[in-house]
Amino acid sequence: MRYLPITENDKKEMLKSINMASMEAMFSVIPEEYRLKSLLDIPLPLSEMELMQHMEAIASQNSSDHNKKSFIGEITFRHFIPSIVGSLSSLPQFYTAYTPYQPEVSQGTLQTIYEFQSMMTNLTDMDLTNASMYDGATSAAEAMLMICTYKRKNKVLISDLIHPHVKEVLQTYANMNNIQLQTISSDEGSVSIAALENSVDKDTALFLVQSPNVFGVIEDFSIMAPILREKQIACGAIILESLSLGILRPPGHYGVDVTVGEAQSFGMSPNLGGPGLGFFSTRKEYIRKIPGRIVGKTTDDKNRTAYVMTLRAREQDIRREKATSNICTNHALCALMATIYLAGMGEVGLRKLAQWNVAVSHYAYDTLNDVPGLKIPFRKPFFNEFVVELGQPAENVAKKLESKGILLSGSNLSKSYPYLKNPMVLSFTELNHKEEIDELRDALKEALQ
Amino acid sequence: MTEAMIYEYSKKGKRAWSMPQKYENINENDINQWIPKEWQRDKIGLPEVSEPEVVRHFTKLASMNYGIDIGFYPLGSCTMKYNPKINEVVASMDGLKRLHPLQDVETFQGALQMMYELKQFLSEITGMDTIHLYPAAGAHGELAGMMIAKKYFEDIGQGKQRKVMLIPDSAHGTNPASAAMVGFEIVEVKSTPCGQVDVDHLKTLINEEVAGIMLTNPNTAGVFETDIKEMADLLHQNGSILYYDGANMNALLGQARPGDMGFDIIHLNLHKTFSTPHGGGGPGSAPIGVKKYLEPFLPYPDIEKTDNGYSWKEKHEKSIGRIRLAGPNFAVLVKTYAWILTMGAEGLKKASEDAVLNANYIREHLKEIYKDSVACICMHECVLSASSFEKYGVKAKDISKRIIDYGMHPPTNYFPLIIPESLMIEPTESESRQTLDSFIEVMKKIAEEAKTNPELLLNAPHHTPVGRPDEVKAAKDLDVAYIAE
Amino acid sequence: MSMIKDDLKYTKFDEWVKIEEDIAIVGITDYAQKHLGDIVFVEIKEQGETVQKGEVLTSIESVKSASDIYAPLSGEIVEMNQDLENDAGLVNQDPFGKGWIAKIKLSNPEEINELMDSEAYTTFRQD
Repeated sequence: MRYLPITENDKKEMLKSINMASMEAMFSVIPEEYRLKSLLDIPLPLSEMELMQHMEAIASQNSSDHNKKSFIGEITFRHFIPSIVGSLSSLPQFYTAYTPYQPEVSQGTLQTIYEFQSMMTNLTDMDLTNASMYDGATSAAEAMLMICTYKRKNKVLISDLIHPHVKEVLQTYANMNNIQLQTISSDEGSVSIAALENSVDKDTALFLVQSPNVFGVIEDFSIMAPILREKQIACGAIILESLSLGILRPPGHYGVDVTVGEAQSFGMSPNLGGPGLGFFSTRKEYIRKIPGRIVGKTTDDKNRTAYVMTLRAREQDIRREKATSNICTNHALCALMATIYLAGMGEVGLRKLAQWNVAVSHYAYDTLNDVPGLKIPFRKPFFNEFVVELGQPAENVAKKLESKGILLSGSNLSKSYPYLKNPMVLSFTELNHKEEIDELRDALKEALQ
Repeated sequence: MTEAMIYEYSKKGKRAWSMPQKYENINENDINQWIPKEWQRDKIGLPEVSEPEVVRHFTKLASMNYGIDIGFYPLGSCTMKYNPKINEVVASMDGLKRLHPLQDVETFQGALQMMYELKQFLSEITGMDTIHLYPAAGAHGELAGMMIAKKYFEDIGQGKQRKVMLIPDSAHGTNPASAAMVGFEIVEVKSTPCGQVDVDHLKTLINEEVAGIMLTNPNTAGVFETDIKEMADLLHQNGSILYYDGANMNALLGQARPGDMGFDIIHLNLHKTFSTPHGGGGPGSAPIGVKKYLEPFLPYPDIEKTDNGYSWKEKHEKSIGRIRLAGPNFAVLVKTYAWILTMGAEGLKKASEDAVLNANYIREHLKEIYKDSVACICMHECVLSASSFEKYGVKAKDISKRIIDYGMHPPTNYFPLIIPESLMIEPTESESRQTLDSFIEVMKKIAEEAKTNPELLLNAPHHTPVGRPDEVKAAKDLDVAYIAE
Repeated sequence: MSMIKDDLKYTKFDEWVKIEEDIAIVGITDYAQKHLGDIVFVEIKEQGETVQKGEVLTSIESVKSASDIYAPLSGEIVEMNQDLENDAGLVNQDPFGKGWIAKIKLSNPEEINELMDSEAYTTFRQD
């Protein structure tokens, strides 16, 4: 076995040197009744070549935007990934390292986390960002727990236009903490301000809102934030398409308490949904209540700049059941990818790319506008995706287009938003050329006839 | 040698990006038509750096890191084994990495089949009836497991009654943190001098309020819980459940299975036992496994095999609900699947044998010098102690820092909490006898240095890019982000 | 050897209490600050909160640990030491003086009798 360097002879000598009669004897601490008497029922080992062929066969049964045209987004986004991201993040000193508990041999990891925290803090216009979370939904759930603990209140208002996947995760976490979730209805594709004003009361800890929302519409924080501030209710923004931060004023600009979400757009492949990158940005007043790791800048014994994990006393390995969260391993390597990506795109590149996405999706908006049997229900500013209503069940339309080499979203939004007729979100990024969008128009025209 | 922060390279006009001319010169007026000007931001706050600078910056930073590809990494409880290169290659195949989670199931039958087979492999390896692949990391698996336990007791009408989770004092910090997150009260179970659960103490704690116990087996002292049957019987007779923290599963691969020992819920750490890289702190992946009677409570979505191929299973009304935004950490699952197929049943068994042999070899050769407070045969890791060096003013931390000078990564310090000045050493099966021998030599040499020249240890490490950071300053003068002007 | 002051009362959680009429000034002992190491943070609670004896009064953090400080006596928190917000290290430097933590207006002065005097605390710490 090529991964195992201990030879048969080593084994004999080593057993002898530790006065152990046999391998069996060494495992005799496990009660006999639990010792496996035969080998596990696992297929025969494959050589590297066989494994490669096997995996190629598996991969070839799948289609995605590498061999089809895709207009799917919502929770995971298709973007171009510059070569530097894969090349640098796959340096073995980065990806074969453990959590940076020994700072002297982990400055690479620690400094990149600090740089990640810095970039995300600037992007969101918040005060600080932690070292990363699992994904956008668990990050939103942790934000909810943090604010409820901080405010000692257990009522949370959530916008109905948070993506159903995120709403469901919030519900899972709320259930076990006796947090009461109340949905704020929408009005023409964005949060109903009247509903929000009618629902805020002194028991409310937090209002959570996603922007751009599930329909792709950009929410107006300049109206929502003051209403909440007046009632001393925290405001939490959820961003699933982080590239929108390349052009939109960040929620932090309007004074929200937390900005959380998914930063998979910054240099990570869709990976069938994981691993992506949860981020958690907040205000200074919450710093001792945040979940997860955070890296601080300091100096060493010779006054050289050094980075180290800090505020460790909040964490589970020290505070145990009183920790602010149980999170330990996060998505550090994904945070590294995002850091490399953002360093590469920079101030100008990220803005241009965001503008490009706006331009492409608005071309699509104009192009699809006159497809018979397709209706665009909301006429509000959007970033790179928008919802359409179809003359036929969305699932049927998706199937028809699939046979033409076009992939559309299979998320069942009609269940969550019954007031829309066969809704489907179409997503357009820099990867979608004009010609592809024309092709989509023609295919939809035919399918919806 | 330190490396400047990325923002220090920034200069207006530098760039590491490229895009088609027509989009680069996009008309701002068009954009303003689509998105109101007042909704657009002024600055973003990112650096402007050229591509060669980005490459040098991160390559320099990488060189300031230590990884398993560089050398011995005996970090106890973390299972730093070799991360095979082929796994990285297969996980980055276009037909896998570019799959979108909202595609129609018919378009990724290959991926679903792979996940379905992986569930079966993990079920066979652990002896659990069903495996669920979604939790993102060990703590997330624990959280899902605790939610399942809670929901189960609610379902049988004991939700209010079963409020206590028993946790040994040697447990990982995530155990009490996870149980507390779902509202369980934590009661600590004492350990014997051998690091095992004190069954007599356990007996005094069992009552109708106990929902269950969270155990790591072998435990965090590297010792197998030989009384596991008695414990399982005690708890099951009391109507309580047993939770298995799979952090130390590497000792048991192909030898014994938590499912057979009576555990009701388990999690695995694929980024430990199953060779996937830690990535400097994730992404991990922590599938959970349950016995049949707990299946309805598993998170959703989940995969099923039907006559028409693989598809998503319908949500069970008793499910704890969704726990992830989009999917499991699929790329990590691909690497795990590739590793299991490469190892085969014999390879898995030999892996645990070598891991246990390596740990015992180190323990046996160092236990005289580094007091071995746990006087039992260890499994895949051993816990030594530096307490006998305190008379020279040397602590476990100083020994660890000195190990760095010899080009190796230190063991885990100060865990488990029950052993003073602990050095927790987990060599894994990836190490050759030569490596183990040189580590033993180094440890002996350091023991001598501690007596003759303790300063050498107290000031270590000597050759790293930076010395020991000032942690007090870091916490007092908090600087956790650079804000661009 | 840790310092213990004669004119103070003590708890088994290594807190000291100084009684000034109906106000109790609370801090942690020299022993406690040495044990915790470099203190980096003391949570400053809002004034006006009431606490029962034995409840968590506030929390204190060093680099490697975090501990709760329990209310030695019941009452209303009338003042927290605001200086600690900027310099929690005062607790290390001057635990019995500038490093005081909270002032509690007593609601049940009889509880004072349950505290240890310096002699009892000295014995307690020697055990």
